[in-house]
Order: sequence, then C-alpha cells, then structure tokens
Amino acid sequence: MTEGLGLSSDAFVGGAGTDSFAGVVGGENVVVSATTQHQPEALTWVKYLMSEKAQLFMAQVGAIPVLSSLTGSKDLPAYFEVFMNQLKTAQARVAHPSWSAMDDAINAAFTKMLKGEKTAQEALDEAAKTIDGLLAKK
Amino acid sequence: MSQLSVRRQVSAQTNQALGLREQRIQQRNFAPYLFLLPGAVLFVLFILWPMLYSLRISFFQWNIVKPETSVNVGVQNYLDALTDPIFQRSVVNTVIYGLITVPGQIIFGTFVALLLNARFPGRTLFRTLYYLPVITSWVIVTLLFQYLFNGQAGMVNSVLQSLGLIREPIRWLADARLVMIPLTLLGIWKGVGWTAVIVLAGLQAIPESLYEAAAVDGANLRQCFLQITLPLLRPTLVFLLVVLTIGAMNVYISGLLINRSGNLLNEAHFVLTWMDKQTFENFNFGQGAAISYLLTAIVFIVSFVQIRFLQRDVMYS
Repeated sequence: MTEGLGLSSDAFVGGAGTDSFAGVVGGENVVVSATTQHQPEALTWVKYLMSEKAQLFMAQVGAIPVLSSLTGSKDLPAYFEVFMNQLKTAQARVAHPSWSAMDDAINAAFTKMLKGEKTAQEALDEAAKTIDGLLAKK
Repeated sequence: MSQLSVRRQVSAQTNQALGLREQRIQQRNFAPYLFLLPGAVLFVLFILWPMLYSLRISFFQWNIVKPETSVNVGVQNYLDALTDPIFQRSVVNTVIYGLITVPGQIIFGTFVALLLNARFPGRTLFRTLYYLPVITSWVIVTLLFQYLFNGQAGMVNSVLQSLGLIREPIRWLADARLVMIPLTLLGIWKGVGWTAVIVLAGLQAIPESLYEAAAVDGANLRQCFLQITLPLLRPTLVFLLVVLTIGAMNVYISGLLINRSGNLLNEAHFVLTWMDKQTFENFNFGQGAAISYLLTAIVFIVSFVQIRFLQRDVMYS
C-alpha cells in the first residue's frame, strides 16, 4: 500500500513506539449512553467489540485493531505491523463533553504557531490554560 | 302611575337595552377573534412557545436526549457566556459589523433613492436592479463573496495585484480582522436595495410644493436637501436605523458559512454564529439559549434607546 506511494510507512509513523511520539487512536468511538434502558446489554456489546475476535473481523475490512495484544498476529496483513507498533504510545482523544472546545484550543495554538504569531511555548501555554479551564468545569 | 314606578320602569328598560347592546357587542366581537385564531395559533405554536421553552433551557445544563434529566444551574449559563472571551469577542465583532453596515446601508441607500427618485428613462429597470441583491439567497451570495475574496485565486486579489496595489495575495478569509471587510461589504451590498426602497417611499411623501416654495425663495440644491429632504426624511431614517441595527445584531448566515469554512480560530464569530456553534457543535444547549436571550436583551435596549432619543415629529405647515 505504502510502496505504491513511493513512501516507506516509516515516513509518517517515524519514531513510533518511542517516548517522543504519540499517535492518536480512535476516530470511531463506542459509548454507552448514560440514559439507556439497556445498560448491561450495551456493555456486553462493547466488550464484544473490544474482543480479539471482533477486532480481527474488523481487520478483514481494513480497520486496524486497537488491541496491542494483536501486534504480530498472523491473521493481520503484514503492513499493519507498523501501525500496531504505534499503539504502544498511542493516545485516545479526551473523552469529555467539552472535547470540541479543547480541540478548537489545540487547533488555534498550532495555527498561531505556524503563522508565526506565537512561539510554540506561548501558544501551547495558552491552549493549556483554556483546556484546564474546560476540565475544571463540571 | 307614581313617579317612582315610572322611574323603575325606565330604568328597567334601560337595563334591558344595555343588556341587548352587550349581547350584540359580544356577537359582533366573536367573528374577528375567529379570524385571528389561525394566526394566533401559529404565533403561539411556532414563536411564543419555542421562545418560552428556550428561556427555560437557558437555566439548565440541558440534556437534549433526555430533557427530564437536565440539571438546573440557575443563571450560570448567563455568567459563563458573559465571562467567555469568545462570546465577548463575538459581541465586539457584531457591534463593529453594525457600526459599519448600518451607516453604510443608510448612506448608500439614501444616495441610490435620490437617484432613483429623479425622472430618467429606464428608472424602473434600475429600481429592479438595485433590489435584486435583496431577494438573493444569503447562502449563495456568501459563497460568491467567498470566491471573490479567496486568498489564492480570488478575483479581488487578482484585480488588486494587477493594479499593482498589493504584491502578495491577501488572505481575506483567514484573519479575524480582515474577514470583516468581505462580511461588511456583503452586508451593505445586500441591504442597499431595501434601504433605498424605504427611503424612496419617504422621499415621495414629501410634497413637491415645499421644493417649489424653496425655489421661489432662491434655495439651492444643497439647501433644499439639508432643510427640506433630510428633516422630513427623519422618521424614515430613524425607522431604518432601528430596523437595520436589529438586522445587523442578527447577522448570521454569512458569518456562519465563513467561520465554518475558514480557520478563524473562533475569533471572527458574531453573537449568533457563536450561539450556533455552542448549541449545535458543542451541544451546549443551555449556553446557546442563554446567548440568544442576552442578544435579545441587547437588541431590546439598543432599539429602545434609539427610538426614545431619536424619534420626534417634524411638521412643516
């Protein structure tokens, strides 16, 4: 897949698995609604989705598993390996009602950095302050 | 028949007559209410009830999925909005938008109305042309302005560059201050036609005889405008000022599209676009409702002050 682009997969996951690198895991999230009438059933379904069996099913249609226990599994395509290695340091997005506001703050920080309006330190300090405020709220 | 009984009889007759009349009034008044009913039902259903419901939402941390689990937070939503830097910035942006577009529309609208009031061939055509932007869709003209002011291939940039006025293309839609230029230009361009029609109506209500009398007295064009036209247009202009200010405070669709497509870092919001984002992107329904009510309060106060201090009758007799 990556060879077709003339890129080694290391090009965009360089440093995977080291301290200085964190990828993002997620994008699709599975949640149990607090107001559902079928909480145990929902939980059973979530547990099933998180099982190796279900993750391998998903892998058949191209979804990279989120279980690091599947790293090196022979049931996965070989080119998944580099992404599986990323899982060691990958982080999920913050599960918080104000996540979109936090995302905005991070986006603003990086935009200001790239436009040269603020140094990385200033921009990220500002974002951290905003996000701390959002986390402090209930 | 004694005097007393006569009086009684008379009073009984009067009472009877009064009763009849009351009955007749009731009968007569029934029909108008029936006619008012459809409008009143629609008003209550689609305006009053949603307004009161959103007032209620504004005091809650509202759960849209299960409203009954919402938490009453008192005025916290209002306090949060007022201390939120993004909301404060949105108020400033909205005020700036109003300060530019309201005088812009009134000045250009009056100018256009004066031209359209003159007698010249093709007058109807021009009246139609000036009114065209008013009936266009906000969405479509905002998209058009986005093309015109595109940072890389926009026509405005290429014209400015070919005239040698700028060297580098300007990124109109990526800067919270610069984006006010396309936004206000759009607002003025779209509103001039409507303003002109209102002013035109005001102009046509001014009796020709006043200008004739002024001409006899030797007044020039400028004096006629300052002494006759402007004072007699005053009620029209005050009306426009109030209505256009309310319109400017409610600026929404153009800001919404431009904020969503550009990367303006929440710095170019208007009050309503921020309300929209808080409600439908951050799912903070209570906060959104509170912002709506804060805007309502601001609009009410501003309109009240404008009408109170500016409206007075001018009589030339």
